[in-house]
Amino acid sequence: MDDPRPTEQPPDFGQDLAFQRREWRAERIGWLTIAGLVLAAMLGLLGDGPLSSTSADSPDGSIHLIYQRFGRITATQAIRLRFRPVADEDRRYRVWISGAYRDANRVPEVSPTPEHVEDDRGRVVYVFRALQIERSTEVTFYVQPRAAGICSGQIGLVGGDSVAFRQFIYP
Amino acid sequence: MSSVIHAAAVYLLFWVSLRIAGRRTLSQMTNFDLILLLFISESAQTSMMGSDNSLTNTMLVIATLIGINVSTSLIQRRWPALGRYFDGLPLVIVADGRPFFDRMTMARVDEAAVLAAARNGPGLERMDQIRYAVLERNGGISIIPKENSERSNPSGPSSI
Repeated sequence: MDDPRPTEQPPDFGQDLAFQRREWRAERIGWLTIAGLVLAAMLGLLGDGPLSSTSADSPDGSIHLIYQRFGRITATQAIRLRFRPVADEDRRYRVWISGAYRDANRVPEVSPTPEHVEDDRGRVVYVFRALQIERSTEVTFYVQPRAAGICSGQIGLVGGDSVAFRQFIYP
Repeated sequence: MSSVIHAAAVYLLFWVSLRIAGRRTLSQMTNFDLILLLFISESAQTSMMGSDNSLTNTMLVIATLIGINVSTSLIQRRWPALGRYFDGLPLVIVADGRPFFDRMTMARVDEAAVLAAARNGPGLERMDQIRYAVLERNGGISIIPKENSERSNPSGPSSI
């Protein structure tokens, strides 16, 4: 650095140029980190976004699940299930979610609204009334993760196939 | 327990963010900076409090934040060498009327800010009347005038 020399020995006021340069370097690394974080968030690596959105199919192809790979604790995310409905004689179809996934998430809303919800051997079953048996039906679960970390789930149709999925939930 | 951890994490996040942002960022509080600060505190608040708005939780969060703040000052008193990591160090940006442009660029201080500090403090008009300008740890600029410089407001060294 071009230090102009004052006429007498200058006071240094406690400055330390070597430390200052290290601080500036750390500052610039911090700026890059912030830019990286924002970019990662835009891409969906920290929550919803193009790289987070994914889908899975059941082995027989009857169920198509659209979900987010990455979620954030308490933030609402949608889990969309498209399937060929298997209606019972009572013109109802039943979608189940594994109990462990249901316990790890709040489900404040389900669309369409289920007629009722029942427990069945560690699974939670949502019973929907089939006004007409369509070729394809969509059910959306809006979920809010309760805990951070890896969250595995399974979702399927009673009397039909199922699909397993896994998410990472940020704190 | 989670309130304490969240508050401590937010404190750490704030400290790192403000250190990264540099000391000049919020030192001269413009209207926009003030609003920015309000936005930042608002976004941190929900993370610290969660859905628990009880008096106990509020008390815990406040106690944690003040506790950490007091602890850092005690640490700095006990080990003064660590103080630089918390608040940085002063930096001479003008000596004998000559600005160190490379330092000013890195610290994001321009000549206009130095001259503004010189006018506001000792009432100097020109760079060559400044003996030393020091960028302080809090982001303010202290001006020490040359002894023979004519001043319109001879109030001595000061900082803005």
